[in-house]
Order: sequence, then C-alpha cells, then structure tokens
Amino acid sequence: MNTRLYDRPWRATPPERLGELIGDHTSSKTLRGFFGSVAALEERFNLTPLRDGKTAVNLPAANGETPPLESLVFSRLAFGPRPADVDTFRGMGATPRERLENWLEVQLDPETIADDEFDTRLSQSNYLTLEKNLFDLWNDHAREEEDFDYHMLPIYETQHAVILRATYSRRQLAEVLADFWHNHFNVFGWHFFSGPLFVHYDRDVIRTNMLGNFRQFIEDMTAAPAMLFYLDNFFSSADGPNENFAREVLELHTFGEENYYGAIPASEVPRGTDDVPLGYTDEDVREFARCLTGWSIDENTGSFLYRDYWHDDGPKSVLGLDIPAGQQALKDVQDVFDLLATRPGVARFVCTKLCRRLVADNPPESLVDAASEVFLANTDQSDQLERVVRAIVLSDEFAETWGDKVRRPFELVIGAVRSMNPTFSLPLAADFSRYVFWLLYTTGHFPYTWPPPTGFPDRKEIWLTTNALVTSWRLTNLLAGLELDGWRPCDPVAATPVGLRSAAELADYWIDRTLLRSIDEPSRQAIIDFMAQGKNPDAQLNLGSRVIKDRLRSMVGLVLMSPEFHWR
Amino acid sequence: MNIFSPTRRGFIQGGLATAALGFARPSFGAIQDGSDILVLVFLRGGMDGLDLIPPVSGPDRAVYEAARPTLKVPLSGSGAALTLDGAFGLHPAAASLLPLFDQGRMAVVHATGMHNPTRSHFEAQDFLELGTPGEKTIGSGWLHRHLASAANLPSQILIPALASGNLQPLALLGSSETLTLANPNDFGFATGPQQWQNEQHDAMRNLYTSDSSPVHVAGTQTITAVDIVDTYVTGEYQPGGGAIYGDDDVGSHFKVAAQMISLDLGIRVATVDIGGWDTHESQGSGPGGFFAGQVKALSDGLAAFLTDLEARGLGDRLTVAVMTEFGRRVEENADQGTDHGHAVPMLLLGNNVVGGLHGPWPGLDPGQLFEGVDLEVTTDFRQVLSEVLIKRLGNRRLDKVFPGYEGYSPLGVVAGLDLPPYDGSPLRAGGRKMP
Repeated sequence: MNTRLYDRPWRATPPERLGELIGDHTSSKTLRGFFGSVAALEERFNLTPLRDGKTAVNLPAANGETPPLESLVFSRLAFGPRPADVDTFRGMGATPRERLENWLEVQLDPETIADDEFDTRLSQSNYLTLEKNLFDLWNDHAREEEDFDYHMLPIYETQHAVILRATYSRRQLAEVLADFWHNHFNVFGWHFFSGPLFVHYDRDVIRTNMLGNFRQFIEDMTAAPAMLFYLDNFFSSADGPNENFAREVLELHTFGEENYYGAIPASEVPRGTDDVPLGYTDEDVREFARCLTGWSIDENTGSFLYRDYWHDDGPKSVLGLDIPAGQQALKDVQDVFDLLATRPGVARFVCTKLCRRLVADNPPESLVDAASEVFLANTDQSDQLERVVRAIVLSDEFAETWGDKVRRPFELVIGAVRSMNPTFSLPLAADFSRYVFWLLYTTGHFPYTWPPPTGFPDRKEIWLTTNALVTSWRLTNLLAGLELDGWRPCDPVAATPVGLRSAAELADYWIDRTLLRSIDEPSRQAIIDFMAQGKNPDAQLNLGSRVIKDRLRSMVGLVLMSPEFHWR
Repeated sequence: MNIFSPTRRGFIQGGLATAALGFARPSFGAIQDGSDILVLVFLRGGMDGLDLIPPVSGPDRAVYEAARPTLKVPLSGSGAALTLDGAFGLHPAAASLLPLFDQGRMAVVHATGMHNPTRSHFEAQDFLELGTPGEKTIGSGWLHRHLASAANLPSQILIPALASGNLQPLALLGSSETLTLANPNDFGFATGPQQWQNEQHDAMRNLYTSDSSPVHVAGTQTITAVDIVDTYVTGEYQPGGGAIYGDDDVGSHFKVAAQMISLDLGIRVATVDIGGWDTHESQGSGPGGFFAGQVKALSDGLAAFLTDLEARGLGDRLTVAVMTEFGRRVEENADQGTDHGHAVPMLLLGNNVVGGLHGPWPGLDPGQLFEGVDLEVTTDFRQVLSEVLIKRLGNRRLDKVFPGYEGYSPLGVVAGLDLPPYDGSPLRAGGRKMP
C-alpha cells in the first residue's frame, strides 16, 4: 500500500517502449545502428568528446536584439503561436502596444472567451471525472483502493486535459497562469490520496483563485483536501503537531527561503517599519504548526473539516503576533494569513517568481519592485493577482527584456504542436494518447508530476541538459512526421499555404510562423539548405511527392528543434 | 481501510545512509591518475540515520529506545538489528550491505552534515550540492567544479559525467559535459520521417554549432551525447557477476549507471538520486515497514552495482558515497514518523574504502544534542568528500571545489596518497608551495 504512493504515472498505463507502436519511427537505432567496428562508427559520426575544454559555469543570456512584441506575447504569455490566435491578436489594434493592451484585457477575463475548439477536443476525449464534485471524487475514486487505475483516474484525466487546454484553448494566459500557480502551490498529482481529488484542486482551488486575491488563495489552498493530504496536515493535532505543511507555507508559498532566519529566537529577527519581523524562524514554524492543528478532512465526504478537539487551544506567537488561547474555529490560522498577506517580503517573493515565469530567469529589480508595489497596494482587492499580472505584462521591462528564459520541455512540445495544425483529441484508451503521455513523462516536465512541494524549477540551467533536450526533441520531431493508420495528429504539410513552393519560401514561412521573428542568417541558411538538399533553394519543389512532403515535415521538425525555438 | 490509520505518508523525498564497521581491507594504494570514478548517491528527503545505524548498547541505546517507542530497531527477535560492532548495528533491511561491511568495503562516517542549522530540505540540498553551506549564489555544483578544476584529467573525455535519471542534480549544476539520461536504449531524436533522418541530424549539428549561446552549447553537447550513446550502447544490458537490479526506479538508476560506466567512455563522476526519505509519518519499524522498503531498495541497488562493476574489473576504480540533506529528530513524533533533524551518517563503499565506523559519535544525551533535539554534527561533509577528492580522484583544489572550506585533515575513510590541499598559489622550483 505504501509503495503505491510513489507509483509513477507509467504504472497506470504500462508504457509501450518507443517503436512498439510506431514501427519505423523508433529511436535512432533503426537507421544508425548497424555499422561494424567502433572505430568505424567513431569515424562515421565524427564523435567529439563532451569534455573538450569547455567549462561554462554561469549561463549568460542570449545575444541578439529583442524580438517584436507579438513574439514575446506568444512565447511567454501563451504556449506558442497558433496562427488563428496570432491573427486575432493582430486584429486587436493599430500598434503592437495597443494590441497587447486589448488582448491582455480579454485574456484576463478568460470566461468571456469562447473556447469551441478546446471544448470539442475535450468532449471527443470522453473523460469521466472532470465534472465531478469533491464528494463524488471522494466517494467514487479516493475510496476505491483496489482498482488503482480507477482510483487515480482523476489525476490521469486532468493530465490529459491540460495537454488539450494548453494546445487548443484560446484562454492562453489563463493556462500559463494556472501552470504557474500549480507549481507555486505544488501538489504531486500521483500522491495516493491527492490524485483522486486532483480535479477539485485544479478546478476549484487553482483556477478559481489564480486571478483573484492572494489572501483568499492561501486559505483555500490550505483547506484543499489534496493539499491537506499531500503535506500531511490532515492528521496534525495538538498531541502531535506536524510541521511539514506549516514549514512549506512559510518557505515556499509566502515568505520564501530568502526570508528564513533559521534557528535563532523569533524575537531576534529584524523588524520592519511596522514592527513586524521581516522573516520567519524555526520557532515560527512550530508555532504556526500549532495554529494549523485540527485543519483536517471529513472521512465521510472528503471535504475540509475543522476538528476542534484536535486543535491546540493554547496561546501562540507567530511572526511577533500574539495569538490568544481559545480563539474561535479557524481564527488562529486566519490571523496569521492576514499578517502574511501584507508582508513586503511575501509580496516580493511571490512577485519575483511571477516575473521569473513571465519575463526572465533574473527579472529586472525595477519590475519586481513595481509588481510588489501593486501586490501590496491591493491586498484587499478581489482582483489583486490580476492587477499584478497586468502591471508585469504592460511594463517596459516586459517588452525590453530578452534572452534570459527558455522553454521547458512541456512548453517546447506544446508550442511545437500549436504551430502544426493539430487535430488530435486524447481518449485515454487510444494508442496515440498513451504514447504522448509516456513520452511527455520522460522529459521530466509533465505537469503535476513533481514530487517535492517546490514545483518544477523555472531556470534555464536546470533544463538545458542532455536528457531534457533529447526527450523534448524526440517527441516534437515525432509529432511533425507521425502517421498512424493514415491519420496525422499534426500535419505540417496541410498547414503550409499552397502557394509556397521553393525551399527558401518554405523555410522562411515556417521560421516566421513558429517564431514570429527573424533569425540569424547562418541558422536560416542551415534550414534552407536542409530543405534544398543541394539544389537551387529558389527552385520549385514537387510538393505532390511523398519524398518532398516528408522532407518538409522533417524541416518543420528541424525548425521546432532549433536553438531559436528554445528561447522565450 | 481507514485512511486516518498510520499506513500512508505524504510527500517524501529524502535520504538515508548506512554504515558498518569492521576491519579495513588492505589498501590498494593511490591511483591518482584521474581514472577513479566517484558515484554520488543522494537520498532526498532526509534519511533517518538513527534507524539505519542504530545504537545497540550503552546509555545511548537507552535514550534511543525511550525516544522511539514504536520506531526503534530491536536487538532481538524478528527485525533485529544486524551487528556492525559492539556499539552500533545495521537496519535489518540493509542485509545486502552486511557482506560488504564484513569485507571491509563499506565505511560509515558518523554524524556528518553542515554547521548550518537549516531544516529546510531545499535549502539543505542546495547548500550540500553547491558545496557552499550558507551560500547559494555560486551558480555551479561542487561536482562540476571538481571536473573543471582537476588537473589530472585528460583534456578530452567522451563522457566525463553521468547523471542517471531524468534530471541533472544540483551537484552538477552548470555542467554541459554531463550526460543526463534515464534509458540509454531510448536516447535519440531520430523520430522524424525515416528518409531524412541522417540529413536532419547533420542539419541539427549545423544549427547548434553556429553560435555560442547557452542553448547552442547545451544542444551541441546533446547531439554529441546522442552520437556517443548511439555508437556504444548496443542492445539490452547484461549485468556482470550475476548482479540482479530491482525492477523499480532505484534498480533502474543503478543499472543505467553501471551500464554506462562499463562502456569505458571516460566517466569520472556519476550521480544517482533516490527519493522517498521524508518519513514524517508511518515510518514503520519492522521489515515490512515503509522505511525498511526504502532501505532494502537502496541496499540491494548498491550491492548489485558493486557486484556488477567488480565483475567487470572496475571495482578498484570505484568509490561510492551515499549522502542525504540531513538526519531526523531523535524523538519520534505522534504520527509514528520523524521530523527533520540535523546530523546523519554518510556511507562510503568500494575496494579502496577503509571499512568500519569513522568519525566522532556525538552522543544522544540531551546535553549533547543540537538544539536539545537532534544529533549534533561532528564531521563536516566536506571533510569526507575532500578526502575522496584528494586520495581517490587526485584533485587537491579544495579552494575551487569547496570555496570557504578551511582546516581540512583526512579522517582516514579511504586509502590513497595523502597530499595537502593546494590553492593554486605560485610554485617555486621543485614544485613546493612558497612559504
């Protein structure tokens, strides 16, 4: 039973190894694997060592000028440029700035955006759990412990749905923000008891609050059964307060470890102008854990339950705040949250992470300052987080910062798919769905699969590694050329306008379509050269031939695996 | 079943270390030509060292039993501690390590850690893996800085560093010469239309060599790694010496590490990450408990790994270090688990290890505990790793690998030539450091 908690997604659907489903589209072995001696192989492939004197330590930003605003919008505020969405954007104003402002206002009100295509793909996929309320999730799934697949169906379907949303939804900014907040308040989706309740966490906690008020958000998150299970608070009682959740609220959700003062007495933490400590200590963690005792779950319904007989009713002191004994239900925690929500250190920590997600790994200080100011000035507003996002997106820094952020694997793959005329839905039983699911998992960046509460790392150093790149490329390249029984889940050939015939035209079209910017001439030339294969790049190609079509698919794969497509 | 019963746990990411004592094997002497291989096993979540290497006699045994009414490893009956020496035992689920200990191929270093009070997983892991306790700004991992500063490594190595798994650990942060892979048989991107795979591969190389941005550098290294793996990895791996790897993540990570090391591609450091050690609740004491399952997977994986590489003639080049971010509180909590603690044993395994128990044991008396509740740190983790760096890997540049670390002296946990650290200051004729 215990071991199940650590079961990984692939246990739910036994993975087919690359190649078993898709024949020739296997790993490189099929084509490159049969050459005789190792020496001959080394010569054939001109092997170079990984160690060749390069010892880069800190990764610098990319060179090159800042791309047009729409390129930034579709790589940072969306999962990638879908042509229809780009057209919509371009129709929203006379200048790039005007378009951004208008587009942003619509995106910040996602419910008003018609989402027909996503709705269609979702309904074609026939999921069973995404409409269920908490009680049904609890009763139908959490309590079903023998049939593991059915027990975990809610997280499994949520993961499929997030692929469809990121790919097809026109509410792209909402999707980017949902991903951010899922990571900020991370719950490992395959936790044995969080998994069955994950539909509720995604829909009623994260998506409900992500443009709302931070103070409300942290309370809803704290009372969310998926979180109560994940970080152990559901059984924390006066007899045995569990520090796990209390620590992570302070360290990961609010103050951040940069405001952690360790084991010093809480009274010795420096104080701000309002005489409140600037950070927290181990003592604060223990005291806050006492406040949280009794925040639990009703075994009969799966919903939040405050067990006052488990609550530590004594006086407490958290962050310099004296909490008297015998307060009414929930109030100990609410008092701490009231305080946390107005701390400058909290605003700064949260806003730094948001700016890191939406702008750059090392966001400009001036931008973090401005976002924090908006955060603090609107702590009592129901649209506080929406205002913060607006301030970040409309800042000069957003438009002027470039080259300090890369697409992580999920973002790279979905971005690629969005540009290639996708026509797939993802019914659970379909071979294609199982295949995509497994390959996304191997990238190390499938949403909701990060076990620790930190959420996926958001810095390029972590993702510019051999496994992350090779697995991202593998899936992207596969989708560019994949045909299954006459059906193509993505079809770059069909997506190419009919009039384009020469290698140069085709390369330029796909570079613009996927990047919305121009690229360095040597890179452009490498792509044209691939498409031309030694012939005149301006000559007409026979796009009726299977060979040329496959070459075009390979060229699109190449563009989507290119260094340029990684930057965002 | 009642979900409120103590049979589950929440997120766990953690670590553990084991130890043993006994007689040292005869030393194989120093190699120091840079051909030794260090395998760093990181147990994420904070491994409960007190249950892995429990005290079995004396006043500390009494403290331990009183502090852990449900979690203690018993001295007799089923699930009894295995014997290391008169003072310490080994968790019974680590039985596969006992032969290694008895042969003098396993060392346990008591009470290792940092003199930094953090009880945050993530902060502690950052400090340990970056190699700079209290500082997180250095931007590179200590293993990467070892590779960058070692003077005895060939200037060219096909694959200097391996991370077995999906993600490259922070100890190798910043390294573009690391091969990170979960499955060498699936490592490639030639998944497009078959007819154009070779041409596309060549075009990828052209694209990625056209500039020197971080993406270009990482991409070029990735393409190279694909070529190397494609060339050398042929078919499913057959472990040597009859070694059997478990059919789980732990077994898979050790197996992939052994497979890649055995290809003789120049790997000098390799990492294996094992999660699941954050045992806040329902830790279990008996052989069927959760912690026991973790220990068994780890121990069996380590034993298979050493058996496999020994059979391939690589045993004398191999040192395995097992560490975790911190130990756990002496006293168990109300949920039959343990909360974050401080010091924890480190394990070293290999033919050049000086078997047995090492380092001062701080004691469990309340007056001896860190902040009155946790095992005190008596050995800086950098002291142990520095000894491996100098004696086994031949790298004396502690100033580069562990900047800010001073006062190194060897504990005697591995065999090898004991040279002083060297900070790169000018030499005079004869190679001696200027006074």
